[in-house]
This record gives sequence, C-alpha cells and structure tokens, in this order.
Amino acid sequence: MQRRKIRNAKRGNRIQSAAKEILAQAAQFDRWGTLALMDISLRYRRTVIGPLWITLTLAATIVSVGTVYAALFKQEITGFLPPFAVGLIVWTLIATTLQEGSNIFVASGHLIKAVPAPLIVHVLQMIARNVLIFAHHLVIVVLLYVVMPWPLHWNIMLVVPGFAILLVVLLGGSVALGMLCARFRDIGSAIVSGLQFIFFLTPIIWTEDSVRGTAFHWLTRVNPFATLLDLVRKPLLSQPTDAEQWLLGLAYAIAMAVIGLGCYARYRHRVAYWL
Amino acid sequence: MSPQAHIVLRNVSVNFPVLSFRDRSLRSRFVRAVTLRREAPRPHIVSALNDINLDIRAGDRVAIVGANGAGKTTLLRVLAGIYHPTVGDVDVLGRCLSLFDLSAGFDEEATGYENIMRRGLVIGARRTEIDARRAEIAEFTELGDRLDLPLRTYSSGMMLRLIFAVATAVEGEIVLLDEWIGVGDQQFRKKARQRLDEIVARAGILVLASHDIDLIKSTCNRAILLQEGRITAAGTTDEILGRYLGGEARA
Repeated sequence: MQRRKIRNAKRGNRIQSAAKEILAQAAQFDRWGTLALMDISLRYRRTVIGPLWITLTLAATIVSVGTVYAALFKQEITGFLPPFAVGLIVWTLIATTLQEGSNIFVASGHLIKAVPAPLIVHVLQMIARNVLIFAHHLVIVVLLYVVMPWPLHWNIMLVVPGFAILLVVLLGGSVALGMLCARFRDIGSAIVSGLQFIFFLTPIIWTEDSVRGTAFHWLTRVNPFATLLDLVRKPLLSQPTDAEQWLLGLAYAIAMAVIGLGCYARYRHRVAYWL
Repeated sequence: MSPQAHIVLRNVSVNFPVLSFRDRSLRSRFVRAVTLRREAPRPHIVSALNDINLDIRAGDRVAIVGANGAGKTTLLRVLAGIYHPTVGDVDVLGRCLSLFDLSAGFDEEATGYENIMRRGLVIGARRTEIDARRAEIAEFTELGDRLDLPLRTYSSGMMLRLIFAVATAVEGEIVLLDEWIGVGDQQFRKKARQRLDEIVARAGILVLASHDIDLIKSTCNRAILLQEGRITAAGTTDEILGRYLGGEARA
C-alpha cells in the first residue's frame, strides 16, 4: 500500500529526495509525453496542417528577414540564410521554453492546488511540448539541405550531445525561473524583454564573422546563449564545433542543473502556498 | 479491503504567506534595499492550521465541521498531499482518493474520451490503466456517442456526469470529500449517490468536510470541530454536532 510520510523535524537529505523525485517523474515519459502531445493536437485541433502552421510562420519570417538582412549585410544569400534559419529555430525553442517556464507554476496553479502531483511534471510536459514543436521546425532544416544545397557532414551527429546540454539548461532554468516568478510576479515581464534584448546580443541575425576584430566579438564567447545555441546550430549545419564551446556548454549545463535542483529541493513544497 | 489504512498527524501547522502586491514585487524589494528603508517588509502570515493532531484508523468516518475559513479545505489538502505542512509530521498509509476540484485537468477543446485520458494522466494513472477503464467510465456517463465531441459542446449537466464518472473511476483506501458531490438530473443523481456510497463503503477511511448536518449524521461516526485553524473539539458525531450547532446558536 502507498505510504506518504512527511517529517519536518528530521529533514534528511533534501537534495537527494528532490533528485529522486525528478528522476522518477522523468522516467514516466508516457505520462507527460502524452499530455504534451495532447496539448499540441488540441491547440491546432481546428486547423488542417496543425502545428505546421507555426513552422510555416517561422519559415516566412526566415525567408523575408533572411533575404533583407543578407542584402543589408551584402552577403551571399546561400551563405547567410542557413545559419540564420537554424539559429532562429533553436532560439525559438530557447525563448519560448524560458518564457513558458517562468510562468509554468502560475499557469498550472489551478492544477497544483487541486491534484497532488510532483511539480516537475508540469515542467517536463511544457518542455516536451516545445521540443515537439521544435521537431516540426526541423522540416525547414531538411529543406535547406535540399534547396540550398548545403553540404552534409557527419558532424551533424553532434547535435545529440548539443541538444542534451541545451535541454538540461532549459530544465534547470525553467524550474528556477518558474519558482522565482511564482513568488515575485513582476519578473515575468522583465524576462520577456530580457529575452528580446539577449536575442539581439546573440549571433542570430548577425554572424560571428561579421564582428570579428570588433568589441562585439567577445560577446559571442561570454554570452551563454550564444554558446548553447551554437552547440545545436553548428552540428545541425554540419559545421565543426570547437572544444572550448563544448567545455563551456557542459559547465553551463552543470551550473543550471545544480541551481534548478537546489531550488526544487528547497522550494517545491512552498510553491503551492504562493499561488 | 485494507484494514490497516491510517492517517496520523502530529503537531501539524500550515502558515500561509499572504503576499500583497508589494511583497510580490521584486522591484519594490530592490527599491527598499537601495533606499535603506528598514521598516518591516515581512509578508503577512496567516496561520491556516495550528498544531493539528489527528489519529484516524481504518473504519473511521470522520466529519470536519466548522465555519467558513476555519481551515477545512486546507486540512483536506494536507491530507491529500497538496500542501506540505510548515511544521509537524504527516503519516498517511493508503492511496488517497481526493474528490474535490474535480474539473482540474479537463480541456474544453478535447473530446469526452480525450478528457478521460487527460484527467487520468493528470492524477497520475498509467495510460494502460486508463485504457482499461475507458469503456466502464463511458458506460457510467450514459453519454454514448457524445463522448466523441469536444467538451465545449456539452451542457453543464453532461459535463458534470463526465467529471463525476472519471473522478470516481479510481479506487482509494482513503476517500477525501469536500462537500458531498451531487450531480445531474434526478435519475443520474440517484446513480451518482449510489456510486459514492459504494466507494465510501469500500474505503477504509472517509474524511468529509461538510455543512450538511443530516449527511454527516448518516455517514460519519466521528467528527472534529475546527475553529480558526485549531481543533477545538473531537469526539462522536452527535457530541461534536451538538457543540457546533450550540455554538452557532449562541453566536
């Protein structure tokens, strides 16, 4: 029989129990995965091509903005468009996840106060939903290889570890931001404008090469978003990645995992009271 | 059934921070910090439950009575595992079936069948379990082919049928009820009442928060009286109801 014991006097190892809870829930992917799939199918229920609508909108942005900027920067469209397109696709995943992540506990407030479930489920469901939408956007990447035509290289396999690093960062970040925003309600809007700001500081509409030798170049090295973006973008483009970026990415992933786990261990039982 | 289900609460307290607009703002906190204003930025703390001790054993049918705001729902949420008490120990043995906020997890746009799956997953059931129960739930609702239509097309009565059928499809050794659920038209109401009676009869423990005196008298054998977050009296149903109603008459 199921047993639930809470002993406030003897806390035990909170980090360990939080980690156990997260791993146990992550293993139940048929639960949050199915819910995420349903979220998507429901949102686009009354449309013909479903979530590909977002892909289509994104593709329109990529083509229009891409051609204009290529002309402005006086660059070959074939050289400019693929990095820009893939950069924007990965950025969309990062930005939407962090935005929805910062709102996740407030948005699921009704559910959190009605059904006993580990908080991490809501975060996992939200990330799964955004990854599924990201998967739809990969159609654009396939088209780039066919239309451009862009050379394919075995480097593309590195997208797996790159994406894993990004997911860990997004998971930790969503938990931490979600808790912060549940407690302090004015941060949500700051995060939206913050992300907008970071978008321009990250090499997406401009390239690393175009700022080489200027003061801006160090930004591409110290900006964690630039590193994390590149760890997915460069492999997707079959471009080589350098060891420094992998080390930095790994460091970011570890840092965010520690921060996220710490917040989860310390505040997961307080969130229900803040809603 | 499980004769060994139990609920034990030791010195349980729940303190809520009631966060005002200013407490919720990081900016105003920052402004206070840089302007070196020291006056108490402490959030207002409401003590929703105070030093609760409970020992509920299998076979007990416990009623929680008390005025609005006495902490009845908060106590049920602690028992259900939604609120983690600020102080004190909780030991709950047995699966809790919490029958309150039943509509949480439902989606207007999803069909009846999809909502059965959604709600099931939300409360932590496995896909295979839900698939196994699907036909049974569908039959109980008597909604037939309408279950293939989105929830937004349902009348409120139909929606309640579905919500009730899904919520009561799972078993639990401990049943937590925030007011008895009465749903639908006369015929369905009777059926629902019967199902609820069955569930309660099968359960090892029932905890019912209610204002319905007749219902409490007919279902519960023990009662506790909550006043401003404290248990001020506990005992047999008649005794406690006497005090509760007597106190109300005086006031």
